[in-house]
Amino acid sequence: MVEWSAMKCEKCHEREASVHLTQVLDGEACSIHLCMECARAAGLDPSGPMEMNQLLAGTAHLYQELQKEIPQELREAAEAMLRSMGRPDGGEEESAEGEAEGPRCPHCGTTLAKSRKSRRMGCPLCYAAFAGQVREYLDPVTEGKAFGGWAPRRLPEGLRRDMERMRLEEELRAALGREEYERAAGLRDRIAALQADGGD
Amino acid sequence: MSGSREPLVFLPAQSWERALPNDPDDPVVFSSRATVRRDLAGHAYPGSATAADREEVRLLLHKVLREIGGRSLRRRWKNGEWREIARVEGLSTPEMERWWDEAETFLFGRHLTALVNTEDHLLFRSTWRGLHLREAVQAVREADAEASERLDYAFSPEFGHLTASPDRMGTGFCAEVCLFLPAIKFARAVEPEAWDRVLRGLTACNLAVDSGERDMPYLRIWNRQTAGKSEERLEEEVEAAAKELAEKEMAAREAIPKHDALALLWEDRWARAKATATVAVVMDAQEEMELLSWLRWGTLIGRGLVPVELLDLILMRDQPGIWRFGDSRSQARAKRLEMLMETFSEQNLGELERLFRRKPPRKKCAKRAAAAEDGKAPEGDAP
Repeated sequence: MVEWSAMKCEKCHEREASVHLTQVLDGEACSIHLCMECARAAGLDPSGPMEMNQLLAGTAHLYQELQKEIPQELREAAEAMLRSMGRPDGGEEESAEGEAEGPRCPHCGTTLAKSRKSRRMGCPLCYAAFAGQVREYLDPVTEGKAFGGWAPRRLPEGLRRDMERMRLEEELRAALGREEYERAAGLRDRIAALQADGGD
Repeated sequence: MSGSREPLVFLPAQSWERALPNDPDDPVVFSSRATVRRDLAGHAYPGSATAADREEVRLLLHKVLREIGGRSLRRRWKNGEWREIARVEGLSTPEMERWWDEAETFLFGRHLTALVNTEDHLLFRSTWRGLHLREAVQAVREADAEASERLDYAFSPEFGHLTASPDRMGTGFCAEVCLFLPAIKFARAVEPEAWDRVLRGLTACNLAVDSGERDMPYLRIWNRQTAGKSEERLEEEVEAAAKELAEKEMAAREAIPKHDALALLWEDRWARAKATATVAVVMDAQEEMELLSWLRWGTLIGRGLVPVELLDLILMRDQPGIWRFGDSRSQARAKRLEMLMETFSEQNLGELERLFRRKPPRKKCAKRAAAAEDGKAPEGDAP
């Protein structure tokens, strides 16, 4: 398993990320994590003083570059961050110190940097606040498989449905991989039914 | 560790260390242990929580664990001396030491313990002598299932159990086996490059000095990975590695006497260990574990005089984890040897006396003893 404290640059996917740009918009933390080289290449020099317009220009350039290759989720996060940074009132801008600490759990206040350093979360909701980083950490281990361990017997209906849906989605992927289209269609219908039950 | 010369009163077998005494049916595997860590939704983890939060969690878990058959040891908590025992017995953790008043331990029969407010809110642990990982896993599974009917665990369909440390999220499960592998070390029966294959991605730790060195007589192996596999799968991997190592160990033990050079070397090491045990004044942890290993091995093959249970008792009392609390290194060394000798004398076994305590010279040997004091000791009298 990769170490929780190690995080790859979202641009080059090779070096460790040391520049973390974070903005909170509508209560959600949006982040971009880069290595120093990629940050500099994008016109961001975290080591020196930086004007806001320079930062914006650099981030915008970076965003355009990343847009070609980054997943939808990250694009939306970057978009939200740029929108917020462009606000006349400054929005909920964080200090440079705050940016270096990465996202912050809205429930207990634990920052990603603190969590990595201590190798501890502050509360269970930290996992939601740092979901992107947790996925990045888990993906090489789980290889996209749904959780297959001992689930609690007492579980809210919504969570139980989500578990079942994720299990069916995994089965669906496997069925498609084996070109079992009839079975895949059945699984797809069951997933749709579950989503309808949950009001998705 | 207290400075008292009184022997510690040990609780019924519950802890990892207490399970060390030799299983007569298993000369290689000391013990097997399964652990699951759980946390409660809506509560900060103990390390980030306030004392009031931890107390709230403790009260909630106290009620539930009593309902499912746990016996609380909280009343004993008030006794400072008992805390020392709890440390030795593995019934507390360093985290619990920090917030002792809001922590609690429960016993469930002989093999299962629940610890409240450690690093996580709840920890179930089952320990068995010998290789009984399946039984250990079953015990924690049943307790966990019962508790989960009454509690709202911090759980995500995507990530699994949300433990305080992301390194343990997913199953929050750990399967461990502690092995005695002196022949593998002595005969180098597992080549350095072969260890990775044997261990199948598991983690190994030298029990003696808590290091990652794998080619050691006392070895603990466990799964570091807690996500992406089921608990049963993780257990199978640990068990498979333990079985393979046990087979290699037994093969090496049988092969050594048939190999002249190795057999001679073995005799030499065994004699040195006996002599060192007799005259040593200061011993560090590594040296002591080597010594215990030699004495233990000798007894297992019918050569030694020291009961294996006694050697394991010393090992149990003297693990590095115990010495981490409070003592400086020099104090620890002095106490270690004191305790070693004290333990042997406590047992008052004649054979041990012969081995570990030199008798005063008899009259007819007085001349010989005087010569020994002058530095003319007969060969073999001292290392």
